[in-house]
Amino acid sequence: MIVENIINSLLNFIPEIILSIMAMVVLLFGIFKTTKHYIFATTLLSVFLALLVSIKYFPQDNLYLFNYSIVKNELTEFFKYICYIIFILQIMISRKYLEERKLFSGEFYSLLIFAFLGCLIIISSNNLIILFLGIELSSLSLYSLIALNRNSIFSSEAAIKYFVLSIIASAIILFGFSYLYGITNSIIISDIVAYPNKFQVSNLYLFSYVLIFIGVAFKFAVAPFHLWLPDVYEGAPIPITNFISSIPKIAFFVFAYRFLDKNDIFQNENFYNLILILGVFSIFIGNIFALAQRKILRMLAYSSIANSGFIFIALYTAKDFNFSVSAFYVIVYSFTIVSSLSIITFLSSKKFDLVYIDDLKGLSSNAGFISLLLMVTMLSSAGIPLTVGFYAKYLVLDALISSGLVYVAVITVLMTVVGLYYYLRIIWFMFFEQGSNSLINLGGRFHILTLSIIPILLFIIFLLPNTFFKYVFNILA
Amino acid sequence: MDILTILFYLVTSVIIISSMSLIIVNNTVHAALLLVLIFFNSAILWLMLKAEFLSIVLVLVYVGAVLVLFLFVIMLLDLPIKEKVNQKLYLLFSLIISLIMFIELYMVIFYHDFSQVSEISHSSEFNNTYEIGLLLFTKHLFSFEITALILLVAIIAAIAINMTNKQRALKQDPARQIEETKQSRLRIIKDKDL
Repeated sequence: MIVENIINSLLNFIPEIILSIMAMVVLLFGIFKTTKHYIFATTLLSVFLALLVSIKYFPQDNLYLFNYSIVKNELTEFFKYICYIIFILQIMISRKYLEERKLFSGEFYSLLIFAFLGCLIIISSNNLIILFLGIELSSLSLYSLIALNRNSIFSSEAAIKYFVLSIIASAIILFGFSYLYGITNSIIISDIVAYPNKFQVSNLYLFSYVLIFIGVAFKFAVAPFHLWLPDVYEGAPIPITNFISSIPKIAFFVFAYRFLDKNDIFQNENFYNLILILGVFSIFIGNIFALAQRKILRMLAYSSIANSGFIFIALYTAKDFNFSVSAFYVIVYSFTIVSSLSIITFLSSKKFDLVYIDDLKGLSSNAGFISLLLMVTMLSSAGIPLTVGFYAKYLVLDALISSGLVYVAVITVLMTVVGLYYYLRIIWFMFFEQGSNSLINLGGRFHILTLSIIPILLFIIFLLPNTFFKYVFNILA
Repeated sequence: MDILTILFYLVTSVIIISSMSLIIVNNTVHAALLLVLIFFNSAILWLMLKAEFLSIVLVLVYVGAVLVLFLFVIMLLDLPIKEKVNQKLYLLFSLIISLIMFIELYMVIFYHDFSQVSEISHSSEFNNTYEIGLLLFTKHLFSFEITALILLVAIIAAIAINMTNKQRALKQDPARQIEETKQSRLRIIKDKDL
């Protein structure tokens, strides 16, 4: 019986096992000169293989593995597939950038796979211990990935900042977990979530939830907890920035979903107001500060703070409806930011980092297609029609108005209009300003093909929204 | 008040005072030694909860291994003791925030109904170590494995960060070692030069 259980669990856990073993293989490949050429191919193949295997072992309904440590169902698998797709795109674009900066090594890709594995564990964890270990696995790999570039001062600063602040966030989450265990006497998340339905919600339960969501807000970089994000975006190697901006956010969205879904605490006035205030404040801070930025990565960092605010507002609307709006927003936002950061990675060449927005001046005269792709991405971040970003913002506002919070919706729209300025400025610089930067990298047909995947998807889903919408809405209904 | 309660308050107050002074103290060696004090007192807390294995592990691993390593690092780095910087503003802010936090926590915990929570009671025969071992390799096997991965990541990261920069890494180069000759290393000097 026990043996059967373990074998069944292992079989269904093969994708993650493949990833963890291949991370070690990649590490070993990095040591020898003859195998060093295969690092990139091995990483890419192993992630592909894991994706294929996880499609093969798609669970029919809730599947609990390893004595209720891990849960697999339609929802977790859906978010995992999205993470896989984003991760594959990021790896494909990362190689040239890393090789030119002498960061291309076995350790780098090995740690990257471990960070990814941690995010997958967060998504499918079913108890508090596994959840915390997943958070630690992913963030520990990320600290070291940022610090790996020893030649840059910015990198060290970013690593120290991220390390210290992120550890405080983890400690706050853990503090909340300890009280939850004390109250409910269980570490299984579904028991903890079901607790307020059986007993009266006590202040201690509320307090531990507030602590946990402060931690989540920190990982999302929502406004009062956002100070680390611009420095990390600027200091980290751009492929790592690309990773931090997307996959952990999807993972932490699933984390938030698990703790809030079908939970009576969400009807508590103090708690939902906290989420709403964090969201609105974050939209305000993000959009205002992004106006003043001259560096493109810092601007994207502040824009991602504003977007995190949108995600929190979308989470707030889940109190009356369901989580499909926020899930849709998270997915669209991650694809958009991955696209823009990938294009920046591509444009940086050996002797030149694309740092200032001014460097984009007159890009369209040299590279019309790339600037078109960047334009579609920027329009999608701004939420302008003909891109799917419009639907994402529209659905959030629609849900807000249906909840009766018209004034919040008005503030949000006004701040989005402010945000339009810095998105459109990039487009203006690319198409209407004179001047050309000879250092910008434009070569590589294969890379351009990879880069064009997401903008084309953003455009196609705008035209044919139904199938994708229905799928997301069915899963989270 | 029975003796256990008095002991509890004694131990916790020592923990709180020493962790506060840990932050304020300027000398790093003193800070490390205060951390030793905190760990010893936490070990006593574990003992009072009848978790003797955890308390011994805390002393052995943290005090015995980690903190000794800490002290070695402090010794090797030879950090200068900083003179007192003006921390009054920080101190004021942190005091206000921690006071608010303390009042909140006190109110929240004091008014909570803990009657749902069952008290742990074991006979003196109860083998703590055995139970932890059993749980670790059956029920929580998966967490155990993930912890192993985290330790692996820590090792990879520590080595990778220190080996990337070739100039600063203290690493042997066998080729250069073999190439060295007596002439390149030794210099004969006469007494007159001194």
